Amino acid sequence: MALNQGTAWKLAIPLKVFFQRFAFLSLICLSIALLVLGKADLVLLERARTISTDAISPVLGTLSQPVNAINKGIERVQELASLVEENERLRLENERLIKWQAASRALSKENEYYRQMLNALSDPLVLPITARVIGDSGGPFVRTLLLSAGRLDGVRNGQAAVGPNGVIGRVVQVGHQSARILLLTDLNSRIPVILENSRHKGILVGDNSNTPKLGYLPNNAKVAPGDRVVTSGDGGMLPAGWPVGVVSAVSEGQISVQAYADWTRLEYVSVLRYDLPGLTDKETNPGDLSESRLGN
Amino acid sequence: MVTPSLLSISVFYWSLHRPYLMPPVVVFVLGVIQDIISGAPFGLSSFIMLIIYVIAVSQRQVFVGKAFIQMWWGFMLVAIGMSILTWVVMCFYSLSFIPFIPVMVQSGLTILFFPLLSWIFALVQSGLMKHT
Repeated sequence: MALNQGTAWKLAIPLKVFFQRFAFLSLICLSIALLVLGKADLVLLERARTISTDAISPVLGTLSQPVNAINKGIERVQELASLVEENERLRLENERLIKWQAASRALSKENEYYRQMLNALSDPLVLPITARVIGDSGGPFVRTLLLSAGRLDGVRNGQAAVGPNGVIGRVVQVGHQSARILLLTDLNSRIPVILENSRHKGILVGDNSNTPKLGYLPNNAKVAPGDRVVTSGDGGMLPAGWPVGVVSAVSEGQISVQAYADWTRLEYVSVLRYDLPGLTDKETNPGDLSESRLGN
Repeated sequence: MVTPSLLSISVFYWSLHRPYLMPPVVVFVLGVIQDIISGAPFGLSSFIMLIIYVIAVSQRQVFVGKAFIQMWWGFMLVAIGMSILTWVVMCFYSLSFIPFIPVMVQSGLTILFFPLLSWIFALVQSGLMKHT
């Protein structure tokens, strides 16, 4: 009996090894095939990705909660050390901001008055949908975030995503309850922007580094480090005038932009629902809240 | 923000020490899940992880039962090699030059995390041994 078992094993092992080899090779081929198919932008593959992201998002959402809590706890302890200085700094900042608030109130009234005089069309209302970040690509090749809001909440492809300090990217993939944000630092990101002071328009081109480059500016555009960059609203998907970053360096033919967003501390992100009558339809970018859960 | 590739440590460790717990199919599925979460092109992680798997399995004699430092050294070579391979694949995939420094930062972090994770895995492994 023992002998029989032994011979059976002797026969089984090479078979098993053969199967493993074969499985390994076919799996390698399968992953290469997936890569090629992905490059070909197959709708099927995109759909598979959306569905699987959707399925995984509740798990990620639950997992990210304790991680966020721990991060917050660590931050709290770190803040305790500099509480007095922080308080002093905030008081000064508050004083300054109150003055600014008065100025901006007066300016916005003035602006409104001029608009009325010129009968200028005002920009449509922008409605933010705020959701928690439940996943971060973390790799060196793609810069994306996963959000815990999707089609059911009114998120659509192409909408702008903003963090607490400024624009961070736009929505590239939407599932029922999850969405993926392509950060403006990603290689594939292109955001239409404008230089706030000189009013020259350009495109912010991501290159996977922390400082995206400003391209397609007119030849005579004067750019200096410190210039503010805001969204231009070209293309109709992103609302105009949202802060993006500042020009950090101007070298031979390359203008680097430092985004306002704090990439390491993005906890909540708002997706901007923005409705341009005639340019956006309900399917691509619903501006009203009626179909969203938020409106009910 | 670059984080260490914990998956490659896990695949390397378990295909060295308990290959039957880490068959190629599992490696493939783990790679696909990683790609879903990270948003990388489908198949990229699976491809790299399968290569790590085959290196680990074929070099078992060299590593198992030897000093830890030798395994760490081996993992360092694998991690750096795989980072460069991934970078080359991604450069071809996106048809542009991707900054190289984040790639090296990631493989450096991964190598630094290796002792911690393999210590945890060793605890799990001895736990498994007790039960069976």
